[in-house]
Amino acid sequence: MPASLGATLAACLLALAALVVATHALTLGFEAWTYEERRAVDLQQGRIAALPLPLQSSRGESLEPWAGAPGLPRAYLLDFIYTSCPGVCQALGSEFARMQASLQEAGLTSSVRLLSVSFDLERDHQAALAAYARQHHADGQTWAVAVPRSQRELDRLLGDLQVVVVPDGAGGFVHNGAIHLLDARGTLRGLFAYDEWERALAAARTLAQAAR
Amino acid sequence: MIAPRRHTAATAARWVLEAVPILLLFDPLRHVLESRMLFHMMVEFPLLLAAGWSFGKRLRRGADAIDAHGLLGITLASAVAAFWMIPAALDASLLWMPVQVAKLATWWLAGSLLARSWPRLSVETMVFFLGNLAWMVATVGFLYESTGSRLCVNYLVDDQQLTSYALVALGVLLGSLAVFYALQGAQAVDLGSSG
Repeated sequence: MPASLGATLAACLLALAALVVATHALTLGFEAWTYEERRAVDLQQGRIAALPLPLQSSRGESLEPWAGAPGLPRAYLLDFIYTSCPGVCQALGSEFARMQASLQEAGLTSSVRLLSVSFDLERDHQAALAAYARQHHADGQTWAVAVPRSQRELDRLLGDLQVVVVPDGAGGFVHNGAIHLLDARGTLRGLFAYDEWERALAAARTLAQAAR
Repeated sequence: MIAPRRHTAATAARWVLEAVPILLLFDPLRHVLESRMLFHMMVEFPLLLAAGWSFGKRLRRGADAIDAHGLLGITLASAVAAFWMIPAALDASLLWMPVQVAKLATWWLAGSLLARSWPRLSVETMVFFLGNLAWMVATVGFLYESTGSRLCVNYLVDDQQLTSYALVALGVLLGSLAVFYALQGAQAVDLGSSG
């Protein structure tokens, strides 16, 4: 059967239309060309939320943040850590210490909770977490350092918040997302870079006040 | 539909190549080829295209009826290449299995169509599409290079830098190929008119 030019052009148009439709879907209407940009759009539309999960704290306590129970904090500032991290994590630790001091000063320790969650289940047992908390002056109350109980629960938390952790090839890890602002039900309300901690804290205070 | 086999060794190699899309659903090969952006884009994509190509070459007819002058094959291949260079598409294929399957299938399909389209392409069409692809690949390379931050959450910045150089090099290669075919076409016209 000889090739038909008309049918060929129709098939080519179909292929191009498929490209446009797929690209439109992937980039959320030609807006988000990277995973992080997609995540920002999902955040804005309130589509990112973490289910409650039990965490083991550096003090050996079991925490269940954003479970919706009365008396729990109304806003969480959460970051992901691994205690053997030498560089940026140490700097972030100092930002969290400043946020902790600021919350204590303002008497807001019961409405905003700082939470550093380790994703290194292999190395970050209670002793390592306690050493990290001591080193950065985390009081364990306003600022808790904790770890999920199992790989499955950790993977679910990371998946819920769309955080991807990759090995950096030198024994450490790299991951997207810095400071996450979660409300009392675990919905992601804000994402902030390491050096935007003051904005993150202000947003958390506003969120806690609005929920009062 | 399928041509008879000749050499067992060549046949075995062909079977391995053609099994690549299936093998890439599972960890050993997938981890090797996708743990680095450079391998993902510069090794896996060409391999998938080659796997499809190898299959397409054995077909007696393929989609010839809707592939006049090889236009459909080259259009589909360009569309597939364009889509999978989007950073969000790379990440999505790593994080969601359906997207991975779509990636394997579209590259394979593009290769199997292109195998039969290629010999039927006119020089003008070949030069046009190769030139376009060269420009696109090099632009993506420059974009990857000029962005200081990570474009893919699954890959490191160093890897991205390396990939960007490779993309620019590939763009230059494709551009050279376009020029080569254009010159060859011009020569053929000269010979035709003088002889």
